[in-house]
Amino acid sequence: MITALIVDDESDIRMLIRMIVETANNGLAVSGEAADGDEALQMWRSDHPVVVILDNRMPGLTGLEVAEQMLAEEPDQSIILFSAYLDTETINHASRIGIKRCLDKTRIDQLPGEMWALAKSA
Amino acid sequence: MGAGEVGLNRAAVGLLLAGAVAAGGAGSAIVVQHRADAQRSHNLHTAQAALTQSLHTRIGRAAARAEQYANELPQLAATRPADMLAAAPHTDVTSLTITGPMLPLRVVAGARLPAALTGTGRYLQDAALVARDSAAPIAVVTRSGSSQYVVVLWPLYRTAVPADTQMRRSASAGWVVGSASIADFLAPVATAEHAFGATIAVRVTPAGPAAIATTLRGGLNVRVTSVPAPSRLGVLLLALLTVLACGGILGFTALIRRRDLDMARRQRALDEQVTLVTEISVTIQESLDVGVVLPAVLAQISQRLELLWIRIVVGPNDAGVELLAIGRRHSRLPAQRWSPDATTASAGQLVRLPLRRATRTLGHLELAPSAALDEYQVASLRQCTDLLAGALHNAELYEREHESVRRLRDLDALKDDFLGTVSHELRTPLSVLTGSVSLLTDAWERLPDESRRTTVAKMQPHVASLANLVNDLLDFISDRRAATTASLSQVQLDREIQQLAELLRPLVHRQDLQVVAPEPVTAWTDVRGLERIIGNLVSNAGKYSPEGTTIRVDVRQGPHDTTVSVCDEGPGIRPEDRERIFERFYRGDSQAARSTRGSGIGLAVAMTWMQAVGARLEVRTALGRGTTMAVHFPSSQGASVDGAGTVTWHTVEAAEEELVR
Repeated sequence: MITALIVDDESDIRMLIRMIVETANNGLAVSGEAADGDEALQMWRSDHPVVVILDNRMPGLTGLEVAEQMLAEEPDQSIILFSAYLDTETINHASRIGIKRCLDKTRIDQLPGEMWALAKSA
Repeated sequence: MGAGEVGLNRAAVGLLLAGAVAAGGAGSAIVVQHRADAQRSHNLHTAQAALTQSLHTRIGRAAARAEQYANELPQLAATRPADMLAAAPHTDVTSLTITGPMLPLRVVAGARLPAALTGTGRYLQDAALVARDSAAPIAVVTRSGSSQYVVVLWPLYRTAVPADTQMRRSASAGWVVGSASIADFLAPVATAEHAFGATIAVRVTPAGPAAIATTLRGGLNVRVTSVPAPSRLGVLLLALLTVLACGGILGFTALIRRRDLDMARRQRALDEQVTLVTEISVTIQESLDVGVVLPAVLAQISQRLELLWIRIVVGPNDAGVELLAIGRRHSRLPAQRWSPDATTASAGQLVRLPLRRATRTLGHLELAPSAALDEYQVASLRQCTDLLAGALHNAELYEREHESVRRLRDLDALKDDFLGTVSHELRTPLSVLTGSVSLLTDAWERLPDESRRTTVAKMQPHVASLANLVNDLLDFISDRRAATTASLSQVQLDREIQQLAELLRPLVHRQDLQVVAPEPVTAWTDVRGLERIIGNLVSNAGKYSPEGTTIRVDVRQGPHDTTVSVCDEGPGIRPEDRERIFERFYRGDSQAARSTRGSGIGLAVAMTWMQAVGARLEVRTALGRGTTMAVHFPSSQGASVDGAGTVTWHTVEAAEEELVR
């Protein structure tokens, strides 16, 4: 089972991701939803999800800051940076700290495929 | 014999001239070159030739008579006034004057500069000192009124001419000073004839033997009022005539010398001028920063021209601002004002030079010299002010460029921030819509009815938010045109607001939106503007107010205007944000602002519309207790709202202060 932790401050987005992931089935499941960085870290440590679907622009910690902490503790953690604004600077920063995938938010329908690809390569 | 008149034969003059000429090199000394215009030069040459010829004739004619005097006074033939003084230093020859059209001479005793010379300007004093130090006579040309005078200075020593300068200074006994107008001195033939009909008066102490009074052939009269003790008249006369002759001849030589000195002085002054101007140009080219250039330039000018004080003032004549000053201005400046066209300046005078660039006066350079400035120094100052004006102008341009670069950089940063925010704001609803559509399309069969309904329902607020943002962006792009495109009409406000609330409800779905419009209310406004103003105020309240709170929209008809107020239970507006919330892109950096979405242009758009439709905004806010934004519209055509287009703030802090008072 490939489990995913959904991190986004927009409840509508979280709900939509959950529905898309769960509808895709194929052994994909949602381990939990977090609305900000602190909550995400807490759930990540207890649930050990295979993939983290991570928004960048959130109140409090940014997605990149959250990812940095996770990768410091678990360098092999698969993370998808799922952001509405992916400029070159953000993408470079992400790959520098070890994030494996960046996905534009309007490509929400591609999330199940990305999760599969990541889980396989891991 | 007492004081009497002595007529001296012209031949005696001739004799002495002959001796002097022989001693000076057979007349070759009588060469005058003048650098004046050709006509004048021609006149001078004519005069000179005539004079030379006349002298030679006279020398020949006088030779025989001269011999007689030479035989009588053989031991004194070579006597010079210097020797006379050296031989009899206590004879107190205080003055010896030869008057007449030729060359009046004075013997001035004492090592100090003659008092008569101290008032005559630097050239003459310098010439006297040069003559003393070099043990050679010198002639200078001075100006008095419109005529030029030749002044011949012949140094006298108490001993034989000392070998070095130091000793010459200590042995100095004074000068023989002669002067004559150049016109008389270089007069053509007729005048030259007349020139030798001089009357010579000699005044000496009455201690010696009686003076001789003889009228010599030719009628040249010598008046002797007394004679020195050991002296004989012949000696004195001979000496005097030697002075006269040598003075005349050496005068010509010295004229040339003087001219050379003058040229050297000019060359030196020119060199100094070029050096100063070059130095200043180099300094000015080193930097475009006035803060670096000005102190260096002012210090250089001050040092080179030995100024007491210098300063640079920029701005108009009467309201200039001092940029920099060096030195201390003398408390007692000469009363005489310095004219802006003057070519020289005296010590301590306030010199004020405009710093001009084309027709514009940028400021002034003001200074006070410690010593007089000559025409070269004043000219170099004028060149320096031209350079300074150029430097100031360039610095001004540089500063302007600098400022626009800074503004562009700020704008660029704002633009980046805006792009980030706007794309986030656009893509979030867009991704919800894309995801929902894709979910419904791909999994319609598998989704339970409930999930399908929820998914569609969730799409609604995102469509509204997207529409709102697109409207904001369009308004923002064309906000300058908003004022001209406002189309005003009598609007049924209560109905419009009710309809608007239904459109807005999805945007504020986390709060309870209530509309209070008790009776029909109208206003003179633009429907689209109303939508943008109230829409942005409501969506703003929705973004910042906590979930479950109430947002109330009140519509009320007042006596002069119609008011729509949007009242929330949010965190209130922080004092530091109040000034700026209507600026484009400004979002504040409070926790509330960071955790909410927004492009930062909604309130700016609302404000632009309020100005376009002549409405006034009143804001009541209290930290932690919510905000009410009341918009006052004109109630009918022709009515106007006081303070239209402005914002009035009522804050709880201010109200509390009022209560305390």
